[in-house]
Amino acid sequence: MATDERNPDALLPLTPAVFHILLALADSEQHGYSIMQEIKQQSQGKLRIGPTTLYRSIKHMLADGLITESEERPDPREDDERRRYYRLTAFGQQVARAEAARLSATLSVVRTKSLFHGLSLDITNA
Amino acid sequence: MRSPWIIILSCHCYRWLLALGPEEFRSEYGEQTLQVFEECCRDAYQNSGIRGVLALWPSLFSEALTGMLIEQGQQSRPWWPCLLALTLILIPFYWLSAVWSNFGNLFYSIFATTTEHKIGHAALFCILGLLIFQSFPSLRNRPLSYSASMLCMILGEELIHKVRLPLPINQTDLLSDLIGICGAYLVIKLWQSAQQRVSAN
Repeated sequence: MATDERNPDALLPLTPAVFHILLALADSEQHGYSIMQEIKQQSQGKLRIGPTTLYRSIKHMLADGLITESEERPDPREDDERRRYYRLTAFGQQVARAEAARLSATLSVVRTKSLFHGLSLDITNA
Repeated sequence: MRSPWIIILSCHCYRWLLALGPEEFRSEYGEQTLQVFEECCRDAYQNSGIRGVLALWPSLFSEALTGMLIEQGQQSRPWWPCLLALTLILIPFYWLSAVWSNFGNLFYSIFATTTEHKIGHAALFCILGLLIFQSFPSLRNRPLSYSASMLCMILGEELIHKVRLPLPINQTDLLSDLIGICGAYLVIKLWQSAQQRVSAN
């Protein structure tokens, strides 16, 4: 996949909503409601974004070139035709990786602080 | 298949809240946002019935309201700060006059007689209506939503005064407010038709 010339770090830090939308779209393209469901599942219900926040975030992400609207549609008989599907762009993937690296670096600092000793901060591989 | 009444009602309320947002957002994302909201309602209804849908109202309605107001703010309409300032002064007017004597003296000196007082009420609500039309242009073609918003403001004002001061509801003031609100709507409609005539020529 072609890489974008823009600097992904320029968009960091991402808001939790934007980062989770990127995560939800990491594996496959999805429509709005399934993105919401995925975010709820990813965060074990701790982050719930409503339809307005979702589409306000999507609006900004489209403008920043992080995601794009997918032209492929499922069979209209099996799907609500009002739905729109979104997928990550190459730049969106770079930004998601950069944000993950930033969070990982922050977590490394957290591990060195005595305040957090005893907390389970291990990242388990799924 | 017809949706349950609670979902239809919820979608109407949500659509009304989205109407507070800028035209640009509504035309591009309004239907999708509403469609996702409807799916949330259907899920909640399947799981917990009417109670489940009602439980969604506080979080999703407040989220929509704040989201649309932020979107409006980002459109940087110059009328927005004027609307906010006037609302903050007008709604708790009697209470503000009682606790801030300079403010009260100024207004009571301008609107000293009963007639001036009525004119003041009508004029302030007319200005408020015009500012609302400038800040939320979509309301220009939605007289019911406009009337509902303004009635909520009037009732809010009365409620604040009832709680803060033992004043009876003044029906003449209410009538003056309604005249002001209708006046603003007439001004906007006349202005719109004048604009249409100019563009037709």
